[in-house]
Amino acid sequence: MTKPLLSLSEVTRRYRIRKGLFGARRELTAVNKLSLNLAEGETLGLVGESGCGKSTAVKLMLGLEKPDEGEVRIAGRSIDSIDRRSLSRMVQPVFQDPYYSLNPTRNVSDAVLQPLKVHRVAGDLKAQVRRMLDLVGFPTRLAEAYPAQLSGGQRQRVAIARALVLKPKILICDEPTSALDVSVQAQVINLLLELRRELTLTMIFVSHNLAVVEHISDRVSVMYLGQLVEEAETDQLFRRPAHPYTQMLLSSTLAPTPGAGLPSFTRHAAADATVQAKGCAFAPRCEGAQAQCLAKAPELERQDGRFIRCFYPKTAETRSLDKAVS
Amino acid sequence: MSDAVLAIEDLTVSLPTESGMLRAVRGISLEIRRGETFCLVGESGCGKSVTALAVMGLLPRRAEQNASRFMVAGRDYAGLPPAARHSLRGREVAMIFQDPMTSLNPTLTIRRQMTEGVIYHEGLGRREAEERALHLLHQVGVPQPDLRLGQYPHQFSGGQRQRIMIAMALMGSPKLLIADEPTTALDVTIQAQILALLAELQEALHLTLLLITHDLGVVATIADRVAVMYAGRFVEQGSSEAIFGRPLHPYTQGLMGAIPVPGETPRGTPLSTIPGRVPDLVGAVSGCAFRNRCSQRQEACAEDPLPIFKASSSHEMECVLEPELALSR
Repeated sequence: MTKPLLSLSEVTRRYRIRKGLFGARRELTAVNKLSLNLAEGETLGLVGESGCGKSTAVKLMLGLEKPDEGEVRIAGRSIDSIDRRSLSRMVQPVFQDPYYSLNPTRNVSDAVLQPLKVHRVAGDLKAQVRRMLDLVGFPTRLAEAYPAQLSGGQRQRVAIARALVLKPKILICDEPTSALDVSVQAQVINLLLELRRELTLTMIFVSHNLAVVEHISDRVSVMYLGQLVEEAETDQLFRRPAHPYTQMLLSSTLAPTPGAGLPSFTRHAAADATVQAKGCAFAPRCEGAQAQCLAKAPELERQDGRFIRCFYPKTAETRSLDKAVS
Repeated sequence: MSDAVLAIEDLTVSLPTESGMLRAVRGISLEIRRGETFCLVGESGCGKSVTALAVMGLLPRRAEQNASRFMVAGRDYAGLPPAARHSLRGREVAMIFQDPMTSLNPTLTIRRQMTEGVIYHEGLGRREAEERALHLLHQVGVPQPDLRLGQYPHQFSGGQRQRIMIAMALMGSPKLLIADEPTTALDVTIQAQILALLAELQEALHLTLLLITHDLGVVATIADRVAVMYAGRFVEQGSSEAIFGRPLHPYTQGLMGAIPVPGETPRGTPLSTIPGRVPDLVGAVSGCAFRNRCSQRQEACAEDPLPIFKASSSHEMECVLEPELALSR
């Protein structure tokens, strides 16, 4: 692999939390020895349930949080050695809710203009703003409008324009379409696909919508309680998921085809990040958990082209065997 | 029509706004049979939640509501004030909402919240009410219900809270349960569990379900019949198999085309979109409200009333398109 543009190596971030007002202090490891590598022009999907550490990982990549251990590097440089100003010209975020992420008292062209002013960019700024709004397909006649006057899709276009106006190389999308309606979601995805091609963007795409992740990503990382449990090329991950958690996620996704029925689970519990398990974090919910899984935590290993953290990964063979038995 | 739990004809709801009356629901008719799961699907602002609130009699006081028929539990409430339906809530019709955290009172115990309704409505004693609550919590899969009854909402996870909401809605043994986006705030794995629970309860208690959602995957998984709502009208209605197997209305087709289907939509290719945006429903709306976004628009689209095309006895749409044309797509 060529030198990664963005890399996380063994990054850990812990928070101290209290359960309730007078509860005992506990430590919650939001991100646990997470390693990710992203080559230039690549799109990495990041999936997992709420509380799995996706958003903390995003904050670490944006330099909004400092890791307790490990290192985040951008273009080979440690993120600590890059000053705020330069960092924001390299990495930019697009957040979930364009209702909260835009200042309601600023009109659209001001919102997009502001980063250029802050960074004292030279030249005809108005023209740059206009070009950017054009690029994201935002109607110029609405350039003086305020966020409250715009639809959700239009707001997300403005948020994307503002993120890209400083020409960053990396765009980090944290659930960029989750607050949008289906038809608008498609428009925003199409826009991201187009911009990625035109500006050769490198992207992190965080979403709980697996169909969308599959559509846009080259590679996908699955997180569970702060750890990476599986990472593979998109096709491999979706066609032949090996980690039991990945399989659980995929089978929980409801396809728009009637008669497919609901997945059956025997174990109902949800993930609890504050419980420190000795063994595999997923073992309490895993149907295939064995004695070893409860005693010892599996390491992340490389196995036929994928990374996986599991003692008993279900490969294609064992899965077909399961079917034959049942 | 003795087996219809809910039968509504020509329901209109208008809500006052600063710029005038917003025609949120513009003449819908539906009939939900006992034991059935009926799904209302559509995008934000299409009127699906307003329809649910109208059924519950929970619309804001200044809303204007009309229907030529409004049968709930064998009685026609058309023309009667919403207050006439007070006694229906809980006992005949109950509702659960999207976000269980905001619909539970954070300062009251689960015991208090679950029992106060039946104590008030049915005059049950505390002991009896509590027994019913325990039984229902057990039925919805909340472990250790006797312990959990004394706890507060923040001590539960999102999925558990939704289970509690469902148990609470069932306290008055309603015949119709309305669920407005019940799984939207939940993770996919929890969503599947809650949907399985709803299906299980429906079977056990002979419940009728009116499910409101924007998620086509949820609809396909549990609906018997589906109504696709756009700008306050049902543009297409039919069995789940018919709607997903052969969507007729250009809007339904547009919705289905906009979601990537794993294994079918080639990766990274543009998804089909519906151009334009939802029309403003303040003031008069005539003809098909979708026509400005429709690629098959004709002159007749602006004329009222729009023709109804029946593809079968259980599948119809409101559109000027000819059957042959619709079939060929």
